Amino acid sequence: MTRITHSTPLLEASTLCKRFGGLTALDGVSFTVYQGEICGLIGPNGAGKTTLFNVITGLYTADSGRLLFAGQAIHHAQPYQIAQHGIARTFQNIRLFGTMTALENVMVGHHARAQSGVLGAIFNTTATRQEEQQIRETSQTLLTYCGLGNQAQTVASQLPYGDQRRLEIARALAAQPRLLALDEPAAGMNATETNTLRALLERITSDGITILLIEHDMSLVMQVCHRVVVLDQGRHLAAGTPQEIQKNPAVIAAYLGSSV
Amino acid sequence: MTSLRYASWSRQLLIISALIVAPFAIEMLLGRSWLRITDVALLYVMLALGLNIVVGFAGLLDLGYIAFFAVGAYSYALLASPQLAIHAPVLVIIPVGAALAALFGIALGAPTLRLRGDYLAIVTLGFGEIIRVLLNNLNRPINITNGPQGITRIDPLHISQFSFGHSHSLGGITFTPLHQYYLIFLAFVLITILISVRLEHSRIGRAWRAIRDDELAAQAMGIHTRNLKLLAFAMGASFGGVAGCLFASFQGFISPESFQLIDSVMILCMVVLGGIGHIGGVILGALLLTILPETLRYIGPLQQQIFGTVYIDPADLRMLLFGLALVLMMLLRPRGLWPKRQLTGQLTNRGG
Amino acid sequence: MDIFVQQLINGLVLGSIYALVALGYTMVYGILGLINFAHGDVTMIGALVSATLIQLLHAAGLPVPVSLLLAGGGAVVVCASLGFSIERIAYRPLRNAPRLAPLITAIGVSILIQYSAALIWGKQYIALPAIITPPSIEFAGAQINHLQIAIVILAACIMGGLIWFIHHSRMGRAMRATEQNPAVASLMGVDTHAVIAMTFLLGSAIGAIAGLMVILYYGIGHYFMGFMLGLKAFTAAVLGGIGNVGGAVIGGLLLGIIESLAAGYIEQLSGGLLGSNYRDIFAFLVLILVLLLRPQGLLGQRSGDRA
Repeated sequence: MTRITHSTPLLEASTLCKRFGGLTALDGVSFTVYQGEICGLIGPNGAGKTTLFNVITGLYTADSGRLLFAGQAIHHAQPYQIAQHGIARTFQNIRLFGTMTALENVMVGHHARAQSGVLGAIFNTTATRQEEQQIRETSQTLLTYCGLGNQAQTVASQLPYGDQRRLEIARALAAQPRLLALDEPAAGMNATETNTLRALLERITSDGITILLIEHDMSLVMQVCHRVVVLDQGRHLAAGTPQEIQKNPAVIAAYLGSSV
Repeated sequence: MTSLRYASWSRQLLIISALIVAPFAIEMLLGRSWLRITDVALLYVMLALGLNIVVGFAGLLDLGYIAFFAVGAYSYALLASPQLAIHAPVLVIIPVGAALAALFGIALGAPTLRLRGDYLAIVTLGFGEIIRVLLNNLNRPINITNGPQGITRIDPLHISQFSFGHSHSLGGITFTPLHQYYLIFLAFVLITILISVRLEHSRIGRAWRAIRDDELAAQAMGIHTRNLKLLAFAMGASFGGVAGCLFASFQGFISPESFQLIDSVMILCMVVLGGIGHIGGVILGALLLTILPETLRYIGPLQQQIFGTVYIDPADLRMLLFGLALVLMMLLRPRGLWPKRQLTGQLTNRGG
Repeated sequence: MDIFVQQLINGLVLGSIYALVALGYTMVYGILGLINFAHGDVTMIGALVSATLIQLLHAAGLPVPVSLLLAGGGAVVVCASLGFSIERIAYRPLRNAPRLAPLITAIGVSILIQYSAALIWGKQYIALPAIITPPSIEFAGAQINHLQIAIVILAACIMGGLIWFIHHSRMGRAMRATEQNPAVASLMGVDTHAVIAMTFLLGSAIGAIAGLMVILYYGIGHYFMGFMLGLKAFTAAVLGGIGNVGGAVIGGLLLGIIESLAAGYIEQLSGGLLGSNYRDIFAFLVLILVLLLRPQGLLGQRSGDRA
C-alpha cells in the first residue's frame, strides 16, 4: 500500500472517556483519521474498539472528551444525526432489516439524504415520484457496486452470510457518507470472500470515501490499511503504518501478554 | 392505451361496479340486517388498516387503539347532537375528529417511545382504559359525555340538504340510508387503502419498517425514530378518528360500552390473524372477524329448536370461539391467514 | 388525617392480595419474558371455585374453618392444574416464536377462561353468604377486623415461604438458574421444562389463595373480576421490579396503599365530586409513571436492550 501523505484530518477524537459503572471502557483515547485513507482500529479483546465505535456513531455519549468531524463537534450528536453529518456504519453482529429485500435495505440507507415526507407520499406528488425513482436507481447501482446486483429482490434474512455483510456496506454507502465505519466486516468470511471484500474497500476509498475499520483479520488489516491505530484496555497504545505497528514491541506485548 | 393497461383498467372497473352493486345484492339475498352488518364491517376495515400502520408497519404494539375510535365518535357526537346543542357541518367535524384523534395518538405515543413489546402493549392498554373511565365519568361536575348513558340523537351524515339518514331515489332505484352509508363508507375505505398502499411504498413506510426490524440500525441510517414513531401513532389514530365520526353518525347513538378493551383486542386480532403488515390480509381479517361472529347469531334459535332451551348464549359462544381461534391461530398459523408473500419463504433469487 | 390510618390499613390488606397475585406475574416474566395475561383470570377461577366449595361445604354442615380450609385446598388444586395446562398447551409450543405470538395466545387463553367461567357460573355476581362475621378492633382511631389481620398474616407467610423456597431449596435454585440463563442451566442438568412448569404451578396456587381472600374479603365474585385485579397486580410487579420476587411483594403492598389513600382522599378533597370511580385509573397512572421514570422498578436492575 502506498503511503498516503497526510491530508486533512476528517475525524479527530481527543481524550475520550467512557465508563460503565465500575468499568472504564475508554480512558482518554485520542486519535485522528485522515481524509481519503483506510484506517484500521485493532487491539486485543476488550480493548474498547466497539465502544469507541459506538461513541463515534452516537450510540453512546462519552463522559468526557471531544469528537470533531470535519471540524464540527459531534460528541453530543444523536445517532440519527450522525448519518446526516456524514458518518455511516456497519455492525459487528449484522443488523440488516430482515423482512425487507436487499434493494429496500439500501433504499432505507438513503433516508438521510432524501426529502419526501408524508404528504408527498399520500398525494403521490411528482417530486416524490421522481425522488423515489432516483433512490431506486441509485440503490440498484450500489447493489451492483457491492457485487449484489442480481440479489435485489431477495429478502435480506435469506441472503448468504457474506452477501449480508456486503449488503450492510451497500446500505451504509447509500447514506453518501464521507466516513464509512465498518465493525469487523470480514468476521466469519473465508479467504475468497475476504479478497472480494478487500477489493470492495479499495474501490470505495478510490472513490473518495474514508474508511475506519475494526478488524481482527490481521492479513486484511496489513494489506488494506494505510494506517493502524491500536487500543489496549481502553487506552491508545500506538498508531502508524501496518509495518510499523507489526514491529512495535508494546503492541506485540499487548496481544501476547507482557511476559513475552 | 396498450392492451395491458386496458385489461387492468377494465378489471378495476369491474371490481368497482361489483362493489357498488353489492349492497343491493346483499339486501336481496340476506336481508336488511346483513346490509347493516356490512356497513359496520367497512368501518372495521378502516380501523384495522389504521392499526396496521401502527402495529404492522412500525411494529408498535398498541392494545388501546379503540380509544381513537372513541375520540372520533365522541367528537362527532358532541359537535352534532343536542348534547352540547351544536350542530356543525360534517365537513368541519370529520377533520376535527381526525385531528383530535391524531393529537391523542401523539399524547399516547410520546411517553411510550422507549418502551418495547410487552411493556408498550400494557401502557397502551392502560391509556385505552383511562379514556374509557373518563368517558364514563365526565358527566360530573359538568356534563360533557353524559356518562354511561351515552349520547343520543346524533345527526346523521348530511351535506347541506342531502341527508344520509333519508332515502333518495335515482333513476328509479331507491337508495335507503343503509345503501347510502355503505357507499360513503366504501369511499372512505378505498381512500384509506390508497393512503396505506402509498405510505407502505414510500420513504416513510420504509423507515417505519426499518424501525420495526431493527430500531438501532434504523437510527444509524439517519432515521429520526422518535418523530417517525409519533407519526405512526398519529396517522393510525387519525384513521380511527375518522371511522369513529362515521360510526357516530351511522348509529345515531354512542356510549362508552362500545369502546372497551375487548374491542381494541378485536381490532388487533383482525390485523394479526389476517396477516400483519399485509394490507390485503388485514382487510381479510377485518371482514372475517366482523362477519363470522354474526353468523353465530343463529346458534341461539338453533339451540331453541333442537334442545328446547338455549344452553349457551350466542354472545358468550362468540367470545369462547374467539378465544379459541386466537390460541389455535398462534399455534398453527402465527403469521396470519394471508401473510406477505415474501415472508413465506418464496425465494426470488435469480443468481448466485 | 382522620381517614389516613383507616386507608392505610385497607391499603395493607388490598396490597397483600395484590402482592400474592403479582408473584405469579413476576415469576413467569422472570423466567420466560412473557406477560401471562391469563394469570388474573386463573385467580378469578380460584375465587369462584372457593365460593362454590364454601357454599357447598357450609350447606353440608361443616364447621367454618374446615370449609375454608377445604375450599382453599380445592381452589389450589384447580388453579394449579389450570396453570400447568395453560403452560403446557398454549405457551410451551411458542417458546421460540416471535414476541407477538405468545402475547396473542395469552389474550386468547384469558378470554377462554373468562367465558368458560361465564358458562359455568353465569354472568351475574356471585355472592358468598355471610358465614363469617369477624370482630373488629380499634386501632389508632381506625377499625381493623380479624379477617383483615388474617389476610395480611397469611399473605406474609406465603410470601416468606416462597422467598425461602427460592433461596434455600434445590428446585428454588434451579428456578433462579433458569431465570438467569436457561441454556447454561440446562447444560448443568436442570430440567428447564420442569422448572417452568413448577413456576406456573406455584404462581397459580398462590393466585388461588389470593382468590379465596378476595371472595372472603369482598363477599362477591364475578367472571370478569380477574381482568382489573390482574392488571393491577401486574402494575405492582412492574413497580417492584418485574422478575424480582421481593419486588412483587413491595410493589403489591405499595400499590395497595397508594390506591387506598388516593381513592380515599380524592373523594374527600373533591367533596364527593370525583369518586372512587377513578380509583382504577390510579394503577394505570402508577404504571405509566414507573415505566417512564424508572422502568426497572424499585428493586430491579437496569438491563440492556429488551428487544
